Amino acid sequence: MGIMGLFAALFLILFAGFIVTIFYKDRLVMQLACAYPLGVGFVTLQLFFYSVFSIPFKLPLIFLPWFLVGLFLILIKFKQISFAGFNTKNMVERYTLFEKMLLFIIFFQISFALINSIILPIKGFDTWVIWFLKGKAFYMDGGVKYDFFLKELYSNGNASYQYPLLAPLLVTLGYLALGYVDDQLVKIFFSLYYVSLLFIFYYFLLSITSREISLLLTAMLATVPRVMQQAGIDGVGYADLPLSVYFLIGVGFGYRYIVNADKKALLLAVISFSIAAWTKNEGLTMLVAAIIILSFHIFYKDKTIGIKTFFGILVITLFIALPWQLYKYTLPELSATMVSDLSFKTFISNIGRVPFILQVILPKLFTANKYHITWGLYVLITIVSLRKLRSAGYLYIQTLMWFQSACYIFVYVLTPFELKGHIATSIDRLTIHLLPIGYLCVGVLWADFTGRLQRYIVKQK
Amino acid sequence: MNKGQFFKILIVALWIALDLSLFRKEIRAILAMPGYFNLTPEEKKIKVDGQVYLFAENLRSLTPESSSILFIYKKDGFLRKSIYYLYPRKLKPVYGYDKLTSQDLLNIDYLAAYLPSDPDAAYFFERMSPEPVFDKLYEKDGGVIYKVNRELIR
Repeated sequence: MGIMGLFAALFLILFAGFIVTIFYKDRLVMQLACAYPLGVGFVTLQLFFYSVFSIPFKLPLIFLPWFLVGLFLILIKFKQISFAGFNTKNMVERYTLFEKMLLFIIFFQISFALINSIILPIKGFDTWVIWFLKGKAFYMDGGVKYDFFLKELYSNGNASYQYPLLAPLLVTLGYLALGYVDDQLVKIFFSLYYVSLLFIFYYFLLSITSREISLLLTAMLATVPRVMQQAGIDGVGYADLPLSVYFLIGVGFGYRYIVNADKKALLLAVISFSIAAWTKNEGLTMLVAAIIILSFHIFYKDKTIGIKTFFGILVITLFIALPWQLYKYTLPELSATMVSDLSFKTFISNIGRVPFILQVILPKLFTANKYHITWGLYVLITIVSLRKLRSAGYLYIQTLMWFQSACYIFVYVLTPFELKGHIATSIDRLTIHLLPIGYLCVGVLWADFTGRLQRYIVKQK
Repeated sequence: MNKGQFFKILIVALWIALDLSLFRKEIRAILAMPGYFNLTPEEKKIKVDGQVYLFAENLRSLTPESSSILFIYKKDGFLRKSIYYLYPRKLKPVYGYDKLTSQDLLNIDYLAAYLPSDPDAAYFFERMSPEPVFDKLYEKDGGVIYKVNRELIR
C-alpha cells in the first residue's frame, strides 16, 4: 500500500482515539491531539489481543472493529458527542508580537521535527536493538509469537525482554500499512507524539491561565534539547517521548477532575495512565500511584462517584494494563534485571548510594545544552510557591512527579549493574517522562504567581 | 514594569541564551537536508549505519530466510545491526574467531564474519578459503560470507 497505507494507519489511529475523546467536551484540536496517543494505545493493544487469540495481522481485520464500534457509539450515544469545534474565545484577541514569536518557535520546532525525523533512517541504539527489531519481527512473524521471547538473541540479549509492546507494535502497524519494512517512514509515528505533546500541553495550560503564559511555556517545552532529540533528531523511535505524553494526559485530566470534579476527565486520565503501563515499565509505577491518589480523592473528597463507577474505572485499567503483565508472567524469568536484587536487605545495604546518585544526576539536570533553564525554573518556582501545596490539584501533580522521581532513584539504589554507567545511559531518557509534568507545575504556579490562575469549568454533557 | 513582566523577561532571556546550542544544531541539520534528499535509501543507510549495512544487506540477499548463520564479530554494534537487518534468519553469534571449532559449524548453513580493521582477519580468511568445506560467496571491506558444505564437516 505504500505511503497511502501509512496515511490509512494514521487515520485508523486517530479514529480509534477519537471514539473516546469525542465524548469529552473540549476544543476539536485538543480532542484530536489526545486521540492520537490514545488511539495508538488502543490499536496496539488490539494487535496484541489478535496475537494472543491467533487472529492474523490483516489490515481489514484491524480496521473493521473500529468502524463497527464507531458506528455503534455514534448511533447509540449520539447525544453525548461533543461538537465544540474550534473555540474562538482566545482567537479573537489579536496576537502580540511576543506571542507571534512564540508561535513561530513552536511551529518551527514541529516542522523541523517532522521533516528531520523522516529524512534519515533510524539512528538510536535502543531504537533498532529494542523497539524496531521487535516491530520488524512481529511484522515478519505475523504476530507476537511466544517463541520469539525464547530466543535470547532477539529479546533477552539486550535485557529488553520484558518491556511492554506498544512501541514495537506501533512499528509493526506501520510496516503492515506500508506493506514492507521501511524504518525511515515509520519514524513519523514517533514524531507525531511530539506534535500531540505540544498541543495537549498548550490547551491544558490555556484552560487555566493566559494565552501568553501558555504559549511561552509550550515554546520552552518544545525547545528542550532532550525532548527534541527524541522528537526529531537522532533519538526518534525511543518510547520515552510517547510515555511522557501519556503521563501528561493522565496528570492533566486528573488535575481537571480534582479541581473541577470533571468525571469524564477522570476517565481519560485513568485510560492514559493505563496505556502508560502498556508503553514502558516505568508507566506501571505511575499508574499505581495515580490510582491510589485518585481513589483517595474519590472516596474522601469527591464522594459523588459510586462504588459501581469506581469498579468500572478499575476494570478499564485492568483491561488495558493487565494483559501484558499476565503475558510477561508466563515468560521465563530473566537472570538479571534492574530490580532483580529487589529486597529490603539489598535496599538497606545500598542506601548509602543515594548521595552518589544525586551527585551524578543533579549536574546533568542543570546542563544547559540538555534542559536549558527547565529544572532551574522548576526548582525555583516550586520553592517560592511551597504554600501552594495546600491546593489539592497542584499537590496531585507534584506528588506524582516526586513519586515517579523517587521510583527512578529507588531503581538506581537497587541496580545490579555498574551504577555510574547505568545512570549515564538512562537518566536523560527518564527525565523526558517528567518534563511535561514539571512544566505543568510551572504553568500552574506561574499563573498563580501572576494572579492569572483560572478555574477551568466546561460542563460535560 | 511589574514583578510579573520582570520575571517573564528574565526567564525568556535566560531560556533563549541557554538554548542557542539547540538552535545551532537545528540550523546545521536544516543546511544538511538538501544533501539527504538526493541520496538513495541505501546511501542513507550507509551514512547512518556505516559499511556494516552493506555487509548485512549482501548477507540478506545471499541467504534464504530459513537459514542458520554463524556470525563472527568483534564489535557488539555490528552484531546488533546485523540482527536487525537479517531477521528472521537464525544467527549464531561468536565473538572473534580464535576459539572457533568444528562443533560451532554443526547445523550451520552459512558462515559470516564482519571484522573490519582487524589485521588478523585476512589471515583467518586465507586459512578458511582453501577448505572445500566453505564456498566463498562474498568478500569486501573486512566482511566475508561462506556457504558451509555441511556434508563435508566431520
